[in-house]
Amino acid sequence: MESPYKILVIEDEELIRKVLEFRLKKEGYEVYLAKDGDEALDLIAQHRFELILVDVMLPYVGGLEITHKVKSDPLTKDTSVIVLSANGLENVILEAFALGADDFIAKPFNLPELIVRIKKHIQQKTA
Amino acid sequence: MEIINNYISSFYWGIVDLPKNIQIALVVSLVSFGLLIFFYIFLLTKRMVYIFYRSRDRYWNEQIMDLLNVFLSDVDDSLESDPVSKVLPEFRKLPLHKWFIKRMLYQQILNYHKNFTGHASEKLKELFLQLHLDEIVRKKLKSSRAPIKIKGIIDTAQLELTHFSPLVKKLLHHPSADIRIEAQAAYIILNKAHSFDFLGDVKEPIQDWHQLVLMDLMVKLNPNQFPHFSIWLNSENTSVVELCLKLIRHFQQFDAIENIIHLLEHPNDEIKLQCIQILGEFEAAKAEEALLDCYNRQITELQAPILKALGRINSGNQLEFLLKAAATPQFEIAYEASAALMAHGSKGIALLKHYHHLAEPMNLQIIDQLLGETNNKNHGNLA
Repeated sequence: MESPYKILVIEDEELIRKVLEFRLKKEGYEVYLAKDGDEALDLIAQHRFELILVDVMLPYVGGLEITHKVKSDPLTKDTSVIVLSANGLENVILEAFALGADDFIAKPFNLPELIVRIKKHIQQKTA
Repeated sequence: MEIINNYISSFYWGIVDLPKNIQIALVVSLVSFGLLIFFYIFLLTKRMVYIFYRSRDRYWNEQIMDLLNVFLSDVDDSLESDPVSKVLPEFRKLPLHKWFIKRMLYQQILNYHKNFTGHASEKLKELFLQLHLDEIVRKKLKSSRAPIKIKGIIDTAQLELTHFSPLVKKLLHHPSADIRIEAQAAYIILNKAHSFDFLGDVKEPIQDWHQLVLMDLMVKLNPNQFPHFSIWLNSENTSVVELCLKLIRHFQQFDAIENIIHLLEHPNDEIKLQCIQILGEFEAAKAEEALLDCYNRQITELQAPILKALGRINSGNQLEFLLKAAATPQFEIAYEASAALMAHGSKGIALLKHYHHLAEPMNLQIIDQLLGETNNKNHGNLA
């Protein structure tokens, strides 16, 4: 049976992509993976995601640009966006939120905490 | 067979009968052709070996990552139980006697550990130790090659392998600056209680970039565990004194003020400058007298910061001294002294206004400029 909730993970680091894919599939989500910004934008154009998990530093198109595109498009603006970044600088966090991000997680991160946050955002969206 | 032999012998005699230059050209062509074939075979073999190793590594990497993903998932699900013992037999099924598998597992656990925090990170370290992968770290630390040694130190610090602390300690004074810096950074992480002891024995200068690396590391640690850095202010190594002053300043160790006052007589001007700046920043009123005492013995580059510090201390006891300095013909001194008077508020401003009509043109310009700035600020605030 197809899961009702689709999550897109945009991360250039294979290890994190694999871990998140494994963990989120275990939680019952339908997981899509993109290793760069271009691939992510193609997937966003093809599917409707409930949540997007995006790294700030990505090849071709950066994570903040993707956040901006998702949040400024009337078709995708309701999708929750969680920004991941190894750079926990205040200006990056503020910029992410200014562009419409729903949450920010600094890397390295606590996996159970991330899963709880994802569940919470999806619950809020579907409530 | 006879036909072949006849052919070869006719070919050979055919060549022998040819002129010398053609013979040479033929030999060169044959050798070149042979080399070309050899080169192609070599490239092809190399490529095939590369493809073989790549697909082998990919296969085992996938296997290891799958195991680690299951392990991480178990860690999340069973916060109370022991996930390491549960998965250990699975990891032991891997052909760990093969060096490349051990190396891959080592690297992957480190990569996972780097990316995750909390319980998962602790359990990954436990798994690493249970699989005796720390032996690889030991070998790296003992390696004679600097890059491998450095990698060993970094891995030790990342996993906080405290049992390797004595090995890291031996590298604190290594002749190679790169090894030294990594060892010192690792030692701080590994020895929380006595992490800065090495500062007492450092003979080599701690370069500026090295100090930055150590500072960057320290700001991420818990400052409650830090010692009083003033202990090392009497060090003969100037760079240690500089680093300690930076640390005192950053972590605002106010109890170091007395020691800093004594350093105002230090022969190094850079250190003296840092001391003056810290005393100003700490608004250390008890340093005023010492600052005034040493003022006349200092170069202009240090006199100006002393005046600035007096402005920050702002005790109101040195107004006459500051006014005298404000009247000097040296621009830098006059400016800092006038600014220090302004920092004293109404009393200082009143003195400057009183002195206004006696001031020389340059001093007058400074005072007008500073008073103008204050008026603009006040107007701005009112607006």
